[in-house]
Amino acid sequence: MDIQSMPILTIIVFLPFVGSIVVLFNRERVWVQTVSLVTALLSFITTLVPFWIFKNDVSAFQLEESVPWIMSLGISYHLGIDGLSLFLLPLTSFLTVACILISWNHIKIKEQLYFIMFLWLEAGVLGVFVALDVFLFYIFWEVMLIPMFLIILIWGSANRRYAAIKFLIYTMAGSVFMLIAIIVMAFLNQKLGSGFGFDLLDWIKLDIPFNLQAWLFVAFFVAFAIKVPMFPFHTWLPDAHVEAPTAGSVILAGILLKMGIYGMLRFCYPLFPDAVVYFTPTVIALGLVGVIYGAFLAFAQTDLKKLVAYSSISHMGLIVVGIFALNATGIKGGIIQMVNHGLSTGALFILVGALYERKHTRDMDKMGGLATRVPVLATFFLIIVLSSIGLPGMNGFVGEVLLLLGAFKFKWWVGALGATTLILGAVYMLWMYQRVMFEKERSGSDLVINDFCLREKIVMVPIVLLIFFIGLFPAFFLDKMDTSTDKLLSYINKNPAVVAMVGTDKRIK
Amino acid sequence: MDFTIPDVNFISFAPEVILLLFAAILLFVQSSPGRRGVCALLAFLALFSNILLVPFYWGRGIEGFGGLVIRDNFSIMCQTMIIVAVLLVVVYSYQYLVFEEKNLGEYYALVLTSVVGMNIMIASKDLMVIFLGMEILSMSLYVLVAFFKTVREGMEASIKYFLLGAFASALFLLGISFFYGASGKTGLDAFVMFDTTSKLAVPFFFVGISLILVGLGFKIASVPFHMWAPDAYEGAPTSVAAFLSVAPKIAGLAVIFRVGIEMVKWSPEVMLTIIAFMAVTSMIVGNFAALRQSGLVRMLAYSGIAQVGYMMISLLAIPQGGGSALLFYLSIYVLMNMGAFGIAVLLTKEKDKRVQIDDLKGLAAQHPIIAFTMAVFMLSLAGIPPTGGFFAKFYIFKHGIEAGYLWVVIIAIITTVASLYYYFRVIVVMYMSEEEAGILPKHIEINLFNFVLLAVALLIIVLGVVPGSLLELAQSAVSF
Repeated sequence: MDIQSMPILTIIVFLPFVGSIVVLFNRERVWVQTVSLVTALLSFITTLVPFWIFKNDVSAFQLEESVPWIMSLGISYHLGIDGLSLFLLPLTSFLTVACILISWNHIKIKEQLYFIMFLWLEAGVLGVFVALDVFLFYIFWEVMLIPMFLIILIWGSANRRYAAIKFLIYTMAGSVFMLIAIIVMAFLNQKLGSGFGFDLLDWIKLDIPFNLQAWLFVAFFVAFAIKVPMFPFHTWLPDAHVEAPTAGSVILAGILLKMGIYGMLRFCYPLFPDAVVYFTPTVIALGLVGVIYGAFLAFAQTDLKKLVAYSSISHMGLIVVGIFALNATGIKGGIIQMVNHGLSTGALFILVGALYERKHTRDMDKMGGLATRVPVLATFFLIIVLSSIGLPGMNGFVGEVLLLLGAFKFKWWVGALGATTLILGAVYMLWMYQRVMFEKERSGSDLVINDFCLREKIVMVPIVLLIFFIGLFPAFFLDKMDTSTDKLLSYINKNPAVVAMVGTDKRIK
Repeated sequence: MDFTIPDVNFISFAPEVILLLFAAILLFVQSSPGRRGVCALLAFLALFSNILLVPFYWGRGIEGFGGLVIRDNFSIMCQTMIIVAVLLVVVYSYQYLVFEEKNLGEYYALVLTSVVGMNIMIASKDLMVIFLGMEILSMSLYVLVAFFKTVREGMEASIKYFLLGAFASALFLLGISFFYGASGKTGLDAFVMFDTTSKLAVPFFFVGISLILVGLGFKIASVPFHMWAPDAYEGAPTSVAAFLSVAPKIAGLAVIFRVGIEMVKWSPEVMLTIIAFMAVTSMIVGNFAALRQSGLVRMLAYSGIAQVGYMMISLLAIPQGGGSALLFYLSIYVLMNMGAFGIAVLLTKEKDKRVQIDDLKGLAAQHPIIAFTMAVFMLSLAGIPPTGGFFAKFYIFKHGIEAGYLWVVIIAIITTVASLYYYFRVIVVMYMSEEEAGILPKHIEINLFNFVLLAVALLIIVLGVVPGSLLELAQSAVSF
């Protein structure tokens, strides 16, 4: 059978959903877990398929599928991928597999619902990454809120009710304004383009007046900035992370935050190029504040999960700086760093969760001296910490160097300020590692704690392998995003203001 | 009202005649313990025959009584919605009024006559006929609200509802007289022929329209005429509260739409300003008052007020075809609000006192399917995809923006975000608490009632995923 003619993307999106229906058939723990795992693995395999088919040199969207959905409103079921979304699909399905494995036999209540929610979450996020009809995108964007909300609400820790509602209201508040902007865009398409409709490819062709662009950009951008989360909108994140169960944190940090960056690149760049240029200084300033402020906050924490959560804010801030530096290096760095951050922060949350299971605390003041007692866990922890800091040879290095190069090309002092992340990150991460793994045991309890079991090793080994693979062969990934990056920049470079701002000689292809 | 006698068109009035026949039979059914099913069945048959009959009028444009009764597509769609809502009310009443054995025949007969009243309201363009329908509806409702006449709250609710309702009817009637004084007609088509140059008639006309809107605003429980709603809903039998929260709103909004569609041809500003005011205040007051409620029915009452506010946005877009948005929203609203009240009925049956939101505790652990349906209703009311409520809201917002009322839409979305808190509080209570035994017994039989709730919830999801055909139906219903 010809693989090109199959609706690959539809299968990718709806496979987890179909699996979740099968999960419903039986309430037995074995059945629920096995079916979920099989579904997640199958879904992971299907998300790898596009790698084979994907053509590096085609700038248009690939594997497109388009079926009319609500004709009278110009809404269609339109899917497609490019070099931007190509990597986010396997990242999503990979982390879902990891989440199901780390939850294995650990869920005490409503187990069936738990796994169903993870599969729905996966389906929703995959949908976000492949939707090319903006209405469809919005539906997926909202749909995945509910599973995440329930995951925090039902299986979270003590203060989960507050955290779940805060998460929900924050993200919804951003996205309803985006909904208004989407409707306005559909009317603009009627006025300037091919009639009332929601197809992204039609919207890209529009030439929107600047003042409208500015408003629409703000409406879209705030929704994405809340998701990232960028500096003034970040307060939901620590709460959500601290209260969510381990697997919830992994998905939240590993995938959901990426949706914000993805949205900025997918929508803000091509639709509102003039506004992007106009708002670049503001966005970069907020990003830099996030980088430094997040790092300092991380430094001040004693709760491990909070530390990782604030470090996320810092890292995501740097990604935003990189992609808004308006050059290819920064954008590529941003895309690859999304994958890196998903892997290393996801892994950090898995490790923190594993520590919590063993010590029943996340307080660094009550840990210490664990390296001798759980050597395997400590080794994995060290690798992940180093990857997160950006040690050469590992994935974090590739991403951070590209991002900082991009920032330097934009303005040297932006790069310089952004580079503080290397120092600050090393400070809080290594300090954390020292306090947890070395020094003396502070809790006073000398209970025997177990090292990693086989299941946990199975989760961690592929992550470590990927970390080194990206670190040593970044070209495998970077080549695939060349064309898409150039295309994204071509929207911006139409604008003479960019040339004036960045300088003609420094415009990087 | 210059019709001639030979124009009595029985066909145009057949659904109402059938309802009245059944209502008359029901009045003669002697109340006795075994008759509970008989009464419900008769009412069900009456409505069921109606829902089979009404669609036959689609597209035929049948008129009767010299144009006083008009069976256009708009009225057919509204009537279908009302009948669906009342069918659910009958199912609820059968479930709910188990211990109440007196006067069951009258109860169902009054439900049917109120449907007749609403049908008349919707299927006419003459203000006197509309008033006639409104009074038939109101009289039935006054009695239904007071059905628990031995309970203090029931009495309080019905007195409140009756006094305010009678006052609103009087204002409506006064509005008609102003209207008649200015135009010399009671038909809504008077707008077209109206002489705008007359200095005296214009203010009369505006006063008339304003008073008519006040009377209707009371029926749909829109701010600032909403005060009665929470108390009346809470004191009335819960099945009647469900009825009150849906069916009269459909009828009232349909009449406002009919007034609006004629009015905007002539002078849109006045009408649209009043509607914008009512919409905005309803959304703000309804949503923010609902935040503070701990009683389930009161919360739903305020949520209903807010929902009316959203629906009125579509009336602002009447010239741009906002009627289809109104019809779409109403279709979804019937399902989601009746569904949510269905859960309230289920709980009220188990508990004598007022049902609190906290009474839903542990529902997800003990009755996952019921909890799932309630979650769907709440998500739909909050406007979260993939439920029908999301698409309905989206479509309303689209029309609001199209009509140039961006500021109203922005207020709508701000209040929507606020509403998330109270809708999701229900979900939080159902799903978060694990150990506490809820007020529902551990094992409840699988009966028609649960099946209906599940069917309604699934229908809401289906309409959210494939809204296309309902949308086309709504669009063709308002293309006059």
